[in-house]
Amino acid sequence: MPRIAKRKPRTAASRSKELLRTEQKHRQRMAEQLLSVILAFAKDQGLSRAQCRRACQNAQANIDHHRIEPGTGVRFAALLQISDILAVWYRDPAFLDKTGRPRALSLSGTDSFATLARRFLPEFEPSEVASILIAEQLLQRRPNRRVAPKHRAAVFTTLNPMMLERIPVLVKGLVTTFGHNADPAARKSGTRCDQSTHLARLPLQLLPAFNAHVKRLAQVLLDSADSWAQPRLLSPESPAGLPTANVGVEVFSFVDDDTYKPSRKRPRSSR
Amino acid sequence: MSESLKSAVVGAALRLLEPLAKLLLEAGVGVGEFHQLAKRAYVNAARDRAQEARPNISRIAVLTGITRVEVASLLAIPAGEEPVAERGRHRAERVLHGWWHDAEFLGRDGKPASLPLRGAKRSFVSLVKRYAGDPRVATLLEELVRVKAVRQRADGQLEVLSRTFVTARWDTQGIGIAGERVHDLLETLVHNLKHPNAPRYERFVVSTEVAPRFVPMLLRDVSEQADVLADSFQDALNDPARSVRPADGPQDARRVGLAIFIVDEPTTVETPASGRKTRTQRPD
Repeated sequence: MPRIAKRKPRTAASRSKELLRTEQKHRQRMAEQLLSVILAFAKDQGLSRAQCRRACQNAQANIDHHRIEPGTGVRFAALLQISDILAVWYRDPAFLDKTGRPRALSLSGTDSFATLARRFLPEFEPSEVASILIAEQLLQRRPNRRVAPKHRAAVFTTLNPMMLERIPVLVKGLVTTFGHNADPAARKSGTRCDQSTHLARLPLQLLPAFNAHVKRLAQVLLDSADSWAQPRLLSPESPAGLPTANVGVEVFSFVDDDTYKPSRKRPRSSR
Repeated sequence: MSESLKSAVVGAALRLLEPLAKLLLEAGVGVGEFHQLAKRAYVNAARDRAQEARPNISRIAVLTGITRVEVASLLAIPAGEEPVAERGRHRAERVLHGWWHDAEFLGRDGKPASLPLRGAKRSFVSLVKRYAGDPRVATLLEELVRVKAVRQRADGQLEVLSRTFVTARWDTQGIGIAGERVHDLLETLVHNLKHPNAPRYERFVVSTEVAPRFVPMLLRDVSEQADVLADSFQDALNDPARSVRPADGPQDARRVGLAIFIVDEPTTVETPASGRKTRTQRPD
C-alpha cells in the first residue's frame, strides 16, 4: 500500500516565516500583477489588445537590446522645462510682487513671460507656449494681455504626450528605488526614501478634502527638498568629471476603488 | 546666583523690556504705572514660589525688596480674570475643527458647508452641541463673528472663514493675545533653563544676511510651510478621541500648544576694506 505523505499542519510560526521567504514564484506573481496594472491602464487609454501585445513585444525587444530609456524623450524634456519656468516664476524676485506671489506678466518685453519661455523653451514661440499653458489651465489670463500661473506644479489636466512620457519615468523611479533598497551592496551607500500610508474607511465625500490636504503637504515637502538641494547643486562652471546624479521626489495620493465592506477584515491603517 | 549670571539675566530682561516699552509707550502707559505693574508681578511671583496656603507677607517683602505694607496692599488686589482672549477659545477651536473636518458638516466639495443657525441636523447649533457641548451658542457665535472666523450671509446662512479662532489685531483682544503669547514663550524658555534635562521643544533659526529682495518669497514659503505644520498639529491636538469631553464634574486636562512666528528686521552686513563680509549687526 503506497504511503501517502501527509502535509504537516502549518503553525503560526511557520506562516510568519513564509512572509519573508522569497521564491521565484513570488517574483513572477509580482511581475504579472505589475504588467496587469500597466496593461489595464493602457487599455483605459484606448489601446487595443493587439496594440498592447505589440507594446509588450517591443518592450521585450528593448530589454534584450538594453534599450530602457524612459525620460530621454523630447516631450518629457519639455515638461521639465515648463516646470523650470514655473519654478523660476515662483522663486525669482524679478517675477514676484511685494507679497511674494508671482506677478502677472505681459507676454513680451523685459521680465515678461517671453523672457521666461525663451530661457527654458528657446525652440518654441513664447505666445504659443502661453496659449498651450492657458488651454491646459496652468496659466490664467489677466487684464492687459498679461498671464499669471495658477499652480506651482506643472501638472496638466489631460494625458498629453508630455504627461504620457512622464508615466514610465515615474514607474522607473519607483521600481529602481525598490531595487536599490533591496540590494545589500547598493544599500551600503544608504537607502532611498520609500514611505507611504494606507488608510481604510475614509468617507468618500472627504476625498476632495483629503486630496487638497495632501497637495499642501506635498508642496511643503517639495519646497523643502528644493531648498536643501539648490545650494548644493553643481553650477555649470563646475569642473567636468565630477560624478552627479539626477534625483527627484514624487508625491501622489491614491484611491483604491475597493469600497469599504464592514464584513471584510482589513487593517485599520498601516504605515 | 553668581554675579555674571545675574548680569546675564539683567541683560536679557532689558532685551525683553525693549519691545514691551514700545507697546506701553504706544498705549500711553508711563513708567510709574509700569513700576506698579512690575511690583505686582514680583509679589505674585514670590507668592507662587513659596507655594504656601497663606502668603507670608514678611518673606515676600524680603524676597522682593518691597515694604510689608505695600506687599499686603498688592496681595489684596483681586487676581485678574482669565484674559478675555483666552476665555472660551478651546470651545471655539473645537467647533471650528469640527466644521472643517467632520464629514457631516462638509459640503460635496469637501469644504466646510454653510450652515443654518438652527436645525436638528447640520446646523450651527448641532455643530456646537457636538463639539463644545455648551448651551451658550449665541455667545460663541458672537465671538466667532467678532474675530472674523465666521460670517453671517444675507440669507442668514453661516459661513466659516478661518480654521483658527485667534487673529492678531491692534485692539484690546489683540493686545491681550500678544501678552499671552509672550507669557507662553517665556514660560517655555524659563522651564528649559530650569530643567535642562527635560526641556520642552524649542528651536530658533535665523539668518542675518538675507538679501532684502528675496524676503517676500522667503516669507511666503515659510508662512505656507508653517501653516501646513500648524494645521497638522492642530488636527492632532483637537482629535476628539484625545480630548477630554465636557462632563458634569471637573476633569484633569493639559494645555498643549505650539507657537510659530516670523522674525523680520533690518540688519547691516559690514564690509571691511578687504572686501570680505565679516559680521552682521542690527541697526539701533
